[in-house]
Amino acid sequence: MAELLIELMSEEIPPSMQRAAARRLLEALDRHLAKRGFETPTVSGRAKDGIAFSTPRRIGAAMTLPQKIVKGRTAERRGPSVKAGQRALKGFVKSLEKKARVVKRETEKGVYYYAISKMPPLKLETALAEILPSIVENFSWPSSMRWPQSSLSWVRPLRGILCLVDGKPVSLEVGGLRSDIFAQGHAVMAQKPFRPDSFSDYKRKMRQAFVIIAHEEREARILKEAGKLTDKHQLQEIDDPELLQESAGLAEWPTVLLGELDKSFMALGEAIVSEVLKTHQKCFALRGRQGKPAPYFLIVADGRVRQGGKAIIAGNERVAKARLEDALFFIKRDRQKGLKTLAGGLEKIAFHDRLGSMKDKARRLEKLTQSETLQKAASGEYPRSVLALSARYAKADLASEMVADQPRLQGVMGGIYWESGKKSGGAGGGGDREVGRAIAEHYRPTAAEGILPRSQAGALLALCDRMDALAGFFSIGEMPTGSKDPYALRRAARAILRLALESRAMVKLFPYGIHLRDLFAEALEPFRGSEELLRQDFPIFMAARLQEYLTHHGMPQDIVSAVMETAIARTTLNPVPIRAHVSALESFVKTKKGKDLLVAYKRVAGILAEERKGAEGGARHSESDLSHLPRDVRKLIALPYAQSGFKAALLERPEERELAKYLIKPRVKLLQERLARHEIGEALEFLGSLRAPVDDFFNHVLVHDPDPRIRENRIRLLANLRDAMNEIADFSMIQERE
Amino acid sequence: MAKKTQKAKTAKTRKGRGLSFQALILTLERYWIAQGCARVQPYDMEIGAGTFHPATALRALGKEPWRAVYVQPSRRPADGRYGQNPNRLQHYYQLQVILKPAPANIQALYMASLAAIGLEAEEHDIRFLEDDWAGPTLGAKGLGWEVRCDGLEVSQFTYFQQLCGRECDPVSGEITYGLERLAMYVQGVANVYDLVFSEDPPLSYGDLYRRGEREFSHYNFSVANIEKLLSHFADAEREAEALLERRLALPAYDQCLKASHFFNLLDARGAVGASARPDYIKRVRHLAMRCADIWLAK
Repeated sequence: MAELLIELMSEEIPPSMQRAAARRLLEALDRHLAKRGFETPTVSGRAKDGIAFSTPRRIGAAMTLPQKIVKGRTAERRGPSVKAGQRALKGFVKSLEKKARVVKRETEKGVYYYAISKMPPLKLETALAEILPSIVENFSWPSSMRWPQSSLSWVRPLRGILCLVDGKPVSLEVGGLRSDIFAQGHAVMAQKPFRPDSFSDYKRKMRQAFVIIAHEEREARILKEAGKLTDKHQLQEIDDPELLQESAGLAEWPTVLLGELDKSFMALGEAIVSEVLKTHQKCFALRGRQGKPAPYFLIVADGRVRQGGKAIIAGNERVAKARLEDALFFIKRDRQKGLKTLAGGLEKIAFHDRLGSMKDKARRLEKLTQSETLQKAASGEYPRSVLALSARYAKADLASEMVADQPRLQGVMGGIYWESGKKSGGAGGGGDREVGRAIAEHYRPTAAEGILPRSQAGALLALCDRMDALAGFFSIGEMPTGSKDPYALRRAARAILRLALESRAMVKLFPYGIHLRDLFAEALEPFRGSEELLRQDFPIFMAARLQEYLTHHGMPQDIVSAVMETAIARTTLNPVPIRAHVSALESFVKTKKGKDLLVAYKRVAGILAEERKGAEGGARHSESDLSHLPRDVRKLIALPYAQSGFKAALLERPEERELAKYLIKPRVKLLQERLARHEIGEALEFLGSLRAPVDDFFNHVLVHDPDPRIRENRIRLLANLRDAMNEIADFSMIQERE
Repeated sequence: MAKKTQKAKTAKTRKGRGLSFQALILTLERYWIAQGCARVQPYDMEIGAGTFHPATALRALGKEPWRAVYVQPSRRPADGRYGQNPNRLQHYYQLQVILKPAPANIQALYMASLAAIGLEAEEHDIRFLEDDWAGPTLGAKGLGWEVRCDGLEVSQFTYFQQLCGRECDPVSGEITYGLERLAMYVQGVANVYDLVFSEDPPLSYGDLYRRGEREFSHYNFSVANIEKLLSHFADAEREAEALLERRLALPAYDQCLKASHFFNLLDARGAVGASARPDYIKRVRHLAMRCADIWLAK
């Protein structure tokens, strides 16, 4: 048994990065050690033998390994090809050590000679001295920096490396930094560095030095201490996982204190008070047992406090008071101006360099909310005038002092100012309550699983807002690529899907959904975006998001993909019927009929594929030759005999004539029309009715007739069958069900 | 006269609660002088932050070691509040420390500076919160933190990675203390104008600066002549170009600072549209980068 402990100590790491970094460290160690033959937790399957830990000032990993040394290792070297002749082989053998064995081995490029030689046993310490420097040098952080004492790049200056095997320090050097013998505790509370002699000793001594190394344990400690305080003051428990996680990433020894606010601030309302406390001070706003906001808040300090943390509480209270007074002041001034005046200030606020100001954005938004696509799709009364007004003022609060100070209150403030304008009869007022709600809600959802707007106008405004962003950024070529998505367009697209599929208000108004492609086309108008965006980029991008969404919600990957391949899904991109389509098809392929048809489809596809190989021989286009063509064209070329007709006169046998009845043009057209109307039930009925004739066909008709004209006609008939089925889904992508 | 005695009394009652504004500055300066910093004088031009002082913007470039501390009056025309807001000023003071190369114990040095003004880490909660910094007009980038003491932001702490568009090598550490805020905390005062500026003579911050805040707010927001500012900006830019031709780095840099300030005034005046803004910033940055080139070339 061997125990490995690594700690990389640095100056304060942003809380959002700590845990992921520690995990990456553990994974990298595991990977590199496994490659060298060590039985790491991943290799042995004992995941709990590997532990990643992090604090604000360190990331670390500990591991238990069954052996400290790897014996019987071999090294391999590739020599010449067997075709290279005796001379090459001789030269190769000459270059080898005496004990090396030479073997022949088949590779992708042909048969080669390989030399296999024994290697000396590898000690864990030796392996680490080699592995750890390369891990540290190549470690990836979301942002990293240089500093004078080292040639490394790290999130903040790396100040210490501790690497212990069974409690003994391994000596190594990385980028000018030597490994330490001592570990250091809390920056302020602990004075003397110490020498840990095992992982458990390290944990214990760290605790004595006021550092809790496990993030989860620090969260638990915050919850426990917070619970004591809220109990004592008859308050509700804290419930803000995001802030809890951040707090645990900001303190090595979290200590919770209670601060008090002047009751007069409660008039600001809970949204503002908690936002000010949270974003500026990382403090938890509190509620009383009945759920009403209470004039208290929790502070998470770092380290053990003196005198009950008097100075810390007083300081935080004073800052909170100043911040909230600022808020009162800002709100007073913003209200004096009113939303109309504020909206005038939007000209000065950029949406994006190349996409104009927020004023331009508001103008576009107002127009887009009056979209034909939306109005046509609405099943009830479309809230035209409410939307026009809310779009006009939706962004006005961005010019307010309150939002300049607290950006996350965007929307919320607009709603409040709309209401107060109404009361005073001032600018922006006079409208109904719905407008204020729509303004307040239109940034929702603010997180992936965040709450959606409740009001109809709010949901519609939220949808249009995102669609405008997609159209704008697409029009200037700023589509997300790979891991880069600087304008969070994927998130915007996911929000659009959630709005269309989950928002109750939306589903009520649009029970048959919205054609997102048409809405995108309207959103694109003011940007004069190219046709290409509408035909290619947007459908591909949105289809990918929809695919993610549906599989994320438990729909089978293969069926989702198969449906997304159909022309109808790609052209309308209406998520409501697409979802219905997927779930109907999912049930269908589980039925006997469905299974049989799937088998038949695969058989047809096989026959057609054979046919293509034979007919086109070597002259076939390779995929890469076609890469410049649009996707749909590419697909057509890839499908043999696609959309080819068959001749009724050449159909000899009754079984093939029967099958042909289902595949005549008017029937296929009817099917297409049904799909266009999203009548998936009827489409599947058609599919089901195919089963008997298809079975009969295969039981009684020989495709490979000696008469080449008849044979080709049969092939064409089958191609028609495949094409008809492909209208519903690309069955080649669907796996057979158990 | 009666008024004055009253003030003297206020100052006195606050005595012992913390350092006066001027004593705070002196203490910090002494502390950093003891760490080997040259106490440089403030730059005699209108600039937005201590970073723009050539003692940072230019001296932090190149290889030569450099350590300096200085107070820099800073102007942010759009932040004026007519002397009415207890926390916001269009003219305020920064204490700037620049250490090149940044020493390995720079955080500890900083903590000790807080202790020197009475903020002992054992009694207070001092935290380093992620705050990556970018100064687009100066083509500058850095990683670091805002430092909080009991929830109050008291300093910016930055490892410069780039200045005037050039990579910093070696990397400098920049520490900027917001003096008014720090003093308000040390003195336990809620309104900046109530700060004790000095005990003898008994002066408050308001005595010295309230009138200026009021008048400059009027000037910045409504009086400054937009057309003149536009032509000033263009003049400064042209002059800088001409000086760059003559390879006079420092005079050219002065013109670049002027242009930057005129831009800030135009902005406060509401004369910079959203689409024009990046262009102004780019023009200033471009000048700063060329100044740096000539500065480094000697």
